[in-house]
Amino acid sequence: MTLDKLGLHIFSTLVFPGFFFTAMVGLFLTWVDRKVTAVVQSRMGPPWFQPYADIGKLLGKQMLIPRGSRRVGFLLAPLIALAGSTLAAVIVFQALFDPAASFVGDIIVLVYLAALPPIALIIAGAASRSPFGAIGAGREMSMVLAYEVGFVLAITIVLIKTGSLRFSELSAYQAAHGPLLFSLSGLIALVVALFCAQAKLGYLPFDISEADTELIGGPLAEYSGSGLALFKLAVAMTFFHLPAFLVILFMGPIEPNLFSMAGFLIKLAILLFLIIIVKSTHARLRLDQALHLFWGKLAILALAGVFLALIGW
Amino acid sequence: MFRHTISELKEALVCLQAGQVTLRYPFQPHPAEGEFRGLPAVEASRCIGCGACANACPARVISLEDIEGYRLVKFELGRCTYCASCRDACPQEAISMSPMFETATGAAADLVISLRLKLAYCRVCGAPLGTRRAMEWVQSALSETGEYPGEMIKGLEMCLPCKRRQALTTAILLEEVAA
Amino acid sequence: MNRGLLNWCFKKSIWVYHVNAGSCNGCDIEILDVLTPYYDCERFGIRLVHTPRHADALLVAGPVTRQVRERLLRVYEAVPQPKLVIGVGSCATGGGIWFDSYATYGGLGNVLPVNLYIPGCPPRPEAILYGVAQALGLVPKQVAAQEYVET
Repeated sequence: MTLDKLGLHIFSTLVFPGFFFTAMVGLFLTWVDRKVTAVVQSRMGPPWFQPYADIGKLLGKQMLIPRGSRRVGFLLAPLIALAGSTLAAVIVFQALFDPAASFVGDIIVLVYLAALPPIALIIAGAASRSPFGAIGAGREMSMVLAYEVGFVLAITIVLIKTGSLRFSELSAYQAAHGPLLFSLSGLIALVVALFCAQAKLGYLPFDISEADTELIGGPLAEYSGSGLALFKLAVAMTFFHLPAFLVILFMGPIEPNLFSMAGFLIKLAILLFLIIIVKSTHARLRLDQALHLFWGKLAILALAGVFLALIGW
Repeated sequence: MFRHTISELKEALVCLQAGQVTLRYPFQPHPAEGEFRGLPAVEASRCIGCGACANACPARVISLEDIEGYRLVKFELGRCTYCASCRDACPQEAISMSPMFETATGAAADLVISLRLKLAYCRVCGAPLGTRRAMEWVQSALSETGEYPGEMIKGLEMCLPCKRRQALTTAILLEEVAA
Repeated sequence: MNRGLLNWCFKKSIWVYHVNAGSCNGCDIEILDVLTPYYDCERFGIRLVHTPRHADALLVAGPVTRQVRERLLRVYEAVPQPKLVIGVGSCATGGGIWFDSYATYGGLGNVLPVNLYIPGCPPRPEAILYGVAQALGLVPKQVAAQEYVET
């Protein structure tokens, strides 16, 4: 690999469309989330620069490491979360901005990169010497087992229908056959994937592991300063690239012209709006209720979707 | 769970009808209504330094101290519980509960009201009697009734032992005793 | 990051942790009122957090009772620097009516270094909001010691 190609890769990972771009836009989207929540709750929300001020303030605070905690795990976990989010974002946005760079199996790479932030949360909970962290880590493990099933089944439906494992071929398939959303199995897959996205982001009604009022933040209870900032940044970046991934999967071909880009933004806004409204109007589920939901109704729905995809619907 | 979702979304629509209920306070004033009891305000020209308020205060916020020819009446309002017992006890109605509630401060010393009132001394022996204002108020109240001769009213400016000694030698006071 | 930018971030985003140091709950209810949509403290960037490790400011209500003092000190040490301590209510300001009780320490100033007092019994939610806005430099201070000398 030549030096300028290496430089281009570093630039695309760190600046655009990698860490810097995703972080800035992701933080802006968390402001949109807080503003819409405020409107639902009949109040003024924070000003537009609030998430940036929050992260800046957290980076400026002292980071306290609890005595007796496993330092390596405690300090590595936020970095793992950030790395997972950054690389997942790079893969998703490469499909938008540079379709030729997609490789066979990049969807599968995306699935396991997007699973890194929850694993980092589990490591964080186990490494901080705190009962809240231990309980939170256990709950996060159960939730990961629950929602990854639905997520992978939804992607399986897409794979069955399109017959390929590359982002670029998804766009070509949807340009030929219409958006996957318009078929029954595609619609089922989108609904299941939305539930799983809500759980992956750790948003109500599925924020069981990080329950603020029950578990004092769960795995994040002992974090302060830069560690907390990196975790919050990872969630903000996931809030950007995960709905974008769903739009690319289900909602139509993305072409590099202005009209298609505007359509992408509108579809992204619709998905984000759905996630935010559900987040601000629901109470938290208990762990057993959430497991019943994911392993019961949603798994059956997703399997029905797989069956429908196999018979061509 | 899905029925629950529908009902929650209906509630969200109801909330949207309320609009934005946030007050623009502190950028717009939002005064208290009715008989709100805020920070006590002392009308210093009416205080006679009698100490009725200090007696009545449950938090012992008010203190009186006689130093160097002045009576220091100190209100340390950091601890005040806004019960208005001082206002009810004051005979001169010098204390009122202002509607002020924006009293945040970095040091409790900012909430101290101190009054220095001149002390009155016995005409004969020079012992401190109380504040001059209290003396003048009693004297004017008694002379308004018209029942007491001026000498008697002037005789108030003595401490009790000196008053007793004076009574043994003043004709008009002896007349009262005889009558 | 230079100091000015950090100061701006700190002023725009203050996360508070509420501690009841023996209070009668009057001040706690008024603090809860400030978090409602009617007074909406989120427009100043203020958020309630549930662990002192995430907090920037401690909102302490109550005269510090003997039982709670050790726990209050541990909570204070768990807050990372830079931190603010705000004493809410007359009890925190000087001990309230418990100032000379054997069971209290007579006010927050005797236990922790306090940055701001918000007197009141209990302080109105507007008073608490005014105090925090005053700490952020948005509104001026309105109280000063008054002295009167009879001439």
